[in-house]
Amino acid sequence: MTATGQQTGPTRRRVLALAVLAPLAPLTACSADDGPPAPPPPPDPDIALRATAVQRELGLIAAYDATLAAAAPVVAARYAPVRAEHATHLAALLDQAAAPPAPAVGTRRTRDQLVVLERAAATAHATAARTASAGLAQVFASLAAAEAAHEIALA
Amino acid sequence: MNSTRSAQVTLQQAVLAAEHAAVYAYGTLGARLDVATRARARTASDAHRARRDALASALRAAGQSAPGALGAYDVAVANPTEAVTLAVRVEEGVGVRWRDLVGGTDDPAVRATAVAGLTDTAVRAAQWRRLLGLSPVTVALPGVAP
Repeated sequence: MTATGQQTGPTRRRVLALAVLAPLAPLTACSADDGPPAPPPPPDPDIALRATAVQRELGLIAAYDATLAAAAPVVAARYAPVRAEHATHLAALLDQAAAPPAPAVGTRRTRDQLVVLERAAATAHATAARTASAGLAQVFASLAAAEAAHEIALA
Repeated sequence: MNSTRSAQVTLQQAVLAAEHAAVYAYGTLGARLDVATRARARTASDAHRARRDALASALRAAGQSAPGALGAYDVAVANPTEAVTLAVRVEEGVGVRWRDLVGGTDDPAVRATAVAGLTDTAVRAAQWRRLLGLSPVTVALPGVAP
């Protein structure tokens, strides 16, 4: 069957489609030896969602690194755990990725700017959670929730 | 009803049960707090009540059962610190149920509601943890059962 060679992480919809089409497969196989090759499968939407989120977390980590480098100890004590949580977020996103990404370069930020970055990340992760596959959606949900709560930690 | 839909309903009912318990717990713990903190607990309780009612309505609109609260829950707090500690535990527990729901549906609207529910619990848990003087104030992956 032609479909088995195409799978690189099937979405639920594709599995369903394959199940529906399965009874027709022998017919197709008999009648079209020399037909056109099957079109390539659509790309797994998780790949793009994950890649975008990795860049977002790298950007946040870089912003915290640049800010922490010049922060007073009392401020650093408050921000360092938040930076560590972003490293955990990055690791959660990279679970199935092939190669570790290059770190981003950040600039020093004010507290208010960090809050803006956190809110933007929370919104983007919440949006990604709507359409990602189930497991990745749960990761995005936790990231969105954590980033919304970071505002409390930064205060 | 297909199996995906059935799983979603079961998870929504689990969130509903957790929201019922949260409303009850806040009623108990609020009595142990000073006036200013009690107002914050009341705000949290109202938020849980709103989520609870919205969920129950959604379940009933879909022709599903929306179980009510139990008669009583096993919550006992002796002082303000225990009260706030319970509030943290309540928020984290409800958050786990919301996150379960995220993974148990592919309906984007239900996902969005579940993410919002989880986010609210994480923000409130952070506020309570901060009040307790805990460090860090936040957890890296809210909704992941410890």
